[in-house]
Amino acid sequence: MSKDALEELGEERPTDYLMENILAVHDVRKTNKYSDAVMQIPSGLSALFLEECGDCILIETRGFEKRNVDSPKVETVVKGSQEGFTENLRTNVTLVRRIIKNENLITEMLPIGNTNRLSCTVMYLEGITNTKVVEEVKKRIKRINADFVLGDGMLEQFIEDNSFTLFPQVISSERPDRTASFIMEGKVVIIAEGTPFALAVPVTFFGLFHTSEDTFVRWPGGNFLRLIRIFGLFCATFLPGLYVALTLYHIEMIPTELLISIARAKELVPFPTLLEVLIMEVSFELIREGGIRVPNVIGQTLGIVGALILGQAAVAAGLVSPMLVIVASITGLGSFAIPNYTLAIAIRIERFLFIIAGAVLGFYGISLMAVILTFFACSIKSFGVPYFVPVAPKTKVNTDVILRFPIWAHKERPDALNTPNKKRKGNNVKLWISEDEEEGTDKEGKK
Amino acid sequence: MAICNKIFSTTPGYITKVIGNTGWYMTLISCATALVFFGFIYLLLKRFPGRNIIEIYDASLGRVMGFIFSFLLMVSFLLSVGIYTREFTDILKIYALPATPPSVIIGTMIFAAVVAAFLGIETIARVAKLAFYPALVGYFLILIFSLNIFKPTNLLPIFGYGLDKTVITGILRGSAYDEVVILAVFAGSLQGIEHIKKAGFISLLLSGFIISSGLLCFALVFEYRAIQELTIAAYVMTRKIAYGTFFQRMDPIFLLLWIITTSIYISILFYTTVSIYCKIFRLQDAKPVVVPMAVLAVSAAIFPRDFSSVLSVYVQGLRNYGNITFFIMPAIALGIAVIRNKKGESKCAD
Amino acid sequence: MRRLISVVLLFVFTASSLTACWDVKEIDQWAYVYTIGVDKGVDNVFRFTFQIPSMKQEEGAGSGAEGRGEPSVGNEYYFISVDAPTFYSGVNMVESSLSRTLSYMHAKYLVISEDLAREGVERFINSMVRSWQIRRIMHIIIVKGKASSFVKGFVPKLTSATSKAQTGFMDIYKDTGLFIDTNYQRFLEDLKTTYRMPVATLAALNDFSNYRTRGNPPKEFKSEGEYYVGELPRSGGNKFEFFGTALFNGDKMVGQLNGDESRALLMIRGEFKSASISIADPKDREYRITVNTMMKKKPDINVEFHEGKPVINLEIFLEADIQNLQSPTEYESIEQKPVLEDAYKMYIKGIIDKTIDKCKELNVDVFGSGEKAVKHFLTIQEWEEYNWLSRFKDAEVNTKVEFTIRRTGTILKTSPIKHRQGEKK
Repeated sequence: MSKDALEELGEERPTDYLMENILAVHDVRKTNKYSDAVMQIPSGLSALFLEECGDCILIETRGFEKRNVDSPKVETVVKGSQEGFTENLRTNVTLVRRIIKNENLITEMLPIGNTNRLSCTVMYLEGITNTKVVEEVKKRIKRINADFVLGDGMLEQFIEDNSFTLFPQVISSERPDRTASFIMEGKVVIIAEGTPFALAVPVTFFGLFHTSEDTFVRWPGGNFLRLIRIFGLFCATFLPGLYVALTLYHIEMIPTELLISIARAKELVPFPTLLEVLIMEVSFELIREGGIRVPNVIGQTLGIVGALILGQAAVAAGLVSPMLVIVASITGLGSFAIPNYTLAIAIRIERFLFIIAGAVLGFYGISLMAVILTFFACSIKSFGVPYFVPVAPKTKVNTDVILRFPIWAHKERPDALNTPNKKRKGNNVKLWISEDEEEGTDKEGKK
Repeated sequence: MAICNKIFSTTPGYITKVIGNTGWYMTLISCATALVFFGFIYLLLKRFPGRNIIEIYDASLGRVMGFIFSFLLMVSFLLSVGIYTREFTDILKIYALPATPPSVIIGTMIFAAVVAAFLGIETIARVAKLAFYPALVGYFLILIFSLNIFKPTNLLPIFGYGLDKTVITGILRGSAYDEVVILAVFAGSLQGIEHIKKAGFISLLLSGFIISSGLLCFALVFEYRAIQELTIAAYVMTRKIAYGTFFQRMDPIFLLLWIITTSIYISILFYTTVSIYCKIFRLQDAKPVVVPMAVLAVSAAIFPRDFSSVLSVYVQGLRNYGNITFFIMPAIALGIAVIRNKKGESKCAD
Repeated sequence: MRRLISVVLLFVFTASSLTACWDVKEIDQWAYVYTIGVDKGVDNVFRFTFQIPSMKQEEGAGSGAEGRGEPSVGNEYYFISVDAPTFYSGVNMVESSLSRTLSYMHAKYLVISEDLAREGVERFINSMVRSWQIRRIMHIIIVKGKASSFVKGFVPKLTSATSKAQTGFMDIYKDTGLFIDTNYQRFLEDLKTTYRMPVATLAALNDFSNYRTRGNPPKEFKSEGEYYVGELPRSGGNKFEFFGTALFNGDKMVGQLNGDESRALLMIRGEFKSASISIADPKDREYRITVNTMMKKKPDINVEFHEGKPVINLEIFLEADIQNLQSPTEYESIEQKPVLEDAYKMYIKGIIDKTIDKCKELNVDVFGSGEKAVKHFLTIQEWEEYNWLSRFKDAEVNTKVEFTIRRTGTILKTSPIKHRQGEKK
C-alpha cells in the first residue's frame, strides 16, 4: 500500500479502511494491545501490523484439521438425530445454534487455563435461564487458577460444588440435540474446546436418568425405558450386597429349593461368600476396564469371552458358585443401563461398599449404609439446586421426573431452576384438535 | 422443609405392644390429644413469632425456669434417642442378628445419627422426605398383602376392655405423637407460623391415619389374645403373608423399611437434642457438641439391663410421661405467658 | 470435616470387618431341616425326628456332562431321631453328631404323633415359636402312629423338590376338601383364643392293607369321604396320606373327623374351595353321581341368644358342575335337575349336622361361631365371663343348605346307550 493512498484516507484510520474495504475475511478485529496479539497468534490467528499504525488487525485464518461431525460414540440412540459433537468448539456451537434459532441464545467465550489458554463457551437463553446461575458459572470459570485445563472432564472438576462425593454434579452430553434441550429447560451449557462433550448445570439426581430418547419415543415407551433403567440402577447398586447379606445372614428369606441348590453348588467351593463375590465383582470390573483399553478390533470379543468363559471356567473349577455368576452378570448389565457414565462409576464404587456392609451386618448394614449414603447425597447441591429436587425438598409437581407424562403435559420448566419464564408451552398445545378450541384460546389470548 | 415431619411418627415397628383390639381407635384418640396440645404449642409460637420454643421458655418463664424446662426437654429427647435405639437393637437381635453384640448395633445406629447431625437439618429433612414415599408404599404394600388373612370379626367386641380404659390410655399415649414438638424447636428457622401450623396438623393427621391403619390391620389379622404375645406384630404379620410357595417372604420389605425409617427417626431425634443443647447455651456451631452427645446417647441406650425392662419400664414410661415434657410444659408456658401478658407482647415487639 | 467423616467411616469398616462378623454363617454351614417330628419320648420327655436333605454332590470332576441328565442327589435324606427334654436341647444333641448347625427356619411340617396330641401339646408348642427360626406358616400335622416313622416315610415319590411338595400336599385340600390345612400361627391363635378351638391336619402312613385283591364287594359302597385316615383302599404311590381333621380341646386332641366331616367343617368355616362329592342316584341307588362342588359365597352364620341359650343359624351356599352321571336319567334337564339338587341338599345337610353333633358331643367349637356370637357383647370382660367355648354344647344349630347345579360339563344331554336289544329296559 502506497503512502499516497494512505494520505487519501485523511482522518480515517488505515486499519479500519483495510478491515472494511480490502480484507475479504468475515472475522477480523483490531487490537492495540501487544499482549492480546501475542495471545491470539498461537491460537491460529494472523496479525497484520501496519507501519506507523498504533493497532494491528487480527485476522481469522484458522484452518485446523478437524474431525467431521460423526455419530455419537457414547450416547447412542435408536431414534433421534445421529450427530454428535466434535473436538472443534466452533463446530459444536454451530451445531447447537442450528437447533435453537433464537436471537436470545447467548454464547460467551471465556478463556480457561493460565498456560494452555483454552477457550470455552457458556451458552444460555436469555430470559429463560436464571441469571444467578449464569453469573455463578461465569464466576467459577473465570476464577479457575490453574495452568492446564483440558476439556470438559477437568473443567467439570474445577467448577463442581463438592469434590468429596461420588455423585456427578454436572451432566455431560455429546449430543447437540440433548444439549439444546438442556438450554431450553433453563440450564447453562458449557462447551470446552478439545472434547466432544458439553456440560450442563445445574443437575438433579433424576435428571441423570434421562436420555434424549425418552422424549423421542412416545410416552408409554419412554416410561418403560426409564423404569428399566431404574431397575438397572437398583440391581447394579444392591444386588451383590443383597446376595451376600441373604446368604450369610438371612437364609430364611431364600426359597427353600433355591437355597438347597445354592447350598449344594456351594458345597465344593473353598472360599467364603464374601471373597467369592469380591472375586467375581473385581474380575468383572477388570473385564470392563480391559475391554475399554484393548484395541478396537479385539475389544468386541473380549467382553463376551471374558464374561462367559471366565464365569463358566470359574464355576467349573469350583472357584465360585454358579448363582453368583448370574448375580454378577445381572449387576453388570444393570450398571450398563445407567445412562450417565460418571454416575455409573459412582454406583460401581458404592456397590463394593454395600457388599462389605452386607457382609458385616446383613440387611441392617445394607439399610444403614443406604441411609448414610442418602444423607451424603442429599447434602449435595449442584449450583445452588438441591440434588434430589423435586422430591426432596418438594417443589411444584413436575411432569418429567421419574415418569414422563404425555408430551403436551410438559408445560413448565423445572421449578427448581427458578427460571424467569416458567411456561414452555401454551395451555392448549394441540391447537389442531378442533376449531372451537382454537377460537377458545384466541379469546383467552385477547383477554 | 417442614414437610419431612410426616415421616416422624411412621416407624411402624413401635406401634403396638400391649393394646387390645381397640388400638386402632385408641390411637385416633391419642392423635386428637396430640392435636389439642399442638394447638397450645401453636398458640405459644404465635405469641412469639420467629422464635423457637427454647427462646420462648426463656422469655415467658424467665431465665432459670426456662433453662430447667428446656433442659428437661433436651433430656427427654436424649432419652428417647437412647431408648428407641435400644428397643430397636433388641428387636433386631431377636429377629435377625442374634449373635452380634448390641454395642455394635447401637454404635452404628448412632453413627448414622452423627453423620446426619453433621450434615444438618436440611439434609435430614430431605432424606426423610425422600424415604417417605418408598416407606409409605412398602408399608401399605404389606398391609394390602395381608388382606387375605384379615378377619373382620377380630374387631369385636367393639369396646375391647371397656371404653373408659381405651380413652384413658389413648390420652396418656398422646405422646406417641410427641415428635411434633420438634417443629417448635426449629420454629425459628421455619418459614413462618402458618407454615408450622399446616405442617404440624398435616403430619399429625397423616401419622394418626397411618398408625391407625396399621393397628387396624394388626387387630384384623391377630386376635386380641394372640397379639399380646408378639414381640413385634408387624414382623410376624409380614412373615405370615404367603401366596404360593415362592411369594411368601415379605420380611425383607419390612426389615428394610423398618431399619431405614428407624435410623432416620433416630437421626432426627438426635439432631433435635443437639440443637436444643446448642440453643440453651447459645452455641453457634453444633458440630463440637455432636460427638459427646453421641456418647451420652450410646450410654443411655446401653443402660437398661434387659429387654423386658426396656419394654415395660422405659418405653411405657416414656410414652406415658413424655406427655408432661412434650405437651404439658408448653401448655404451662403458654399459661404463664398469658398471665404475664405484657411481657410476652413486649418481647414479641422487639 | 468430610475427610474426618470418611476416615471414621473407613475405620469403622475395617475395624468391623477385621474383628468379626458375628452372625455370619455361610450357607454351607447349616443343615436344613424339612420336617420336624415330635413323639412321646422313651428315654426322655420327647422324641424329636428331623428330616435333613443330603448335600452330597456327584463325585468326580467328569460327572459334569453325564450327571446333568438326571441329578441323582434329589431324594437323599438323613433322618435323625433324638430323645430330649426340650426342642432346643434336642437340637443341640443332634448337632453333636453333625458337622453343621441345624437350621429349622425352612421346616414346613411339624408332625405330632396322636398319642402326644391326646396328652397335650402345650409343653412344646409355646416354646418352639419363641425362636425366630420357626416360621409361623409351618403346617401342623397330627399323625396316627409314630411321628418318627411318618417322618422317615415322608419322601415324596413324584418329585425331588420336597419343600415344594410339602406345600403342594397341603394345597390339595383346595381340590378335595378332605382335610383341613392349618399352620403354626393359626393353631397357636386357636389355642389361646376365646372364639374357637384348634384343629389340625390328620395324616397317617397307609400300609395298603385295605387294598384288597380278592373278596366280595360290600353291600353298600362307601362314599369317598367316609373313610378315615390311613384306611383308604389304595396301593402304590406315597405311603403317607393326608385325610381328615384332628379336633382339639385346648391343647389336647379329643377326636377326629373323616373326609366328609372335614368337608362340612370347611364349608362352615367358609374355607371350602372345591370337591368332587359323590352320592347315590336318588332314583336308583345302584348308580353314583358326582358333582364338582364349590362355594358360591361365604356362609351366613347368625348367633342369637334365646333365654341364655345360643341359637346358631347356619346357611351354606354351594354351587356345582355335574361331573359324573352313571344312570341314564337325564338330570341335565330342567325337570330332573331339582331332584338332584334336593338330593345333594339333603346329603350335605346330613353330613353337616352329623359333624356339628359330633363336635357338640365333644363340646369343641371348631367352627368359629364364637366369632359371630361375640357381637352380642360390648367388652372383652363380659365376653370372657360368658365363656362361649363351654356353652357350645348347649347350642341349638339350624342348618340350611342352598345348592345349585350350574353347568353340566361338556355334555348337555345324556343320550341312552343303544344295545342290540334296543334301548336298555
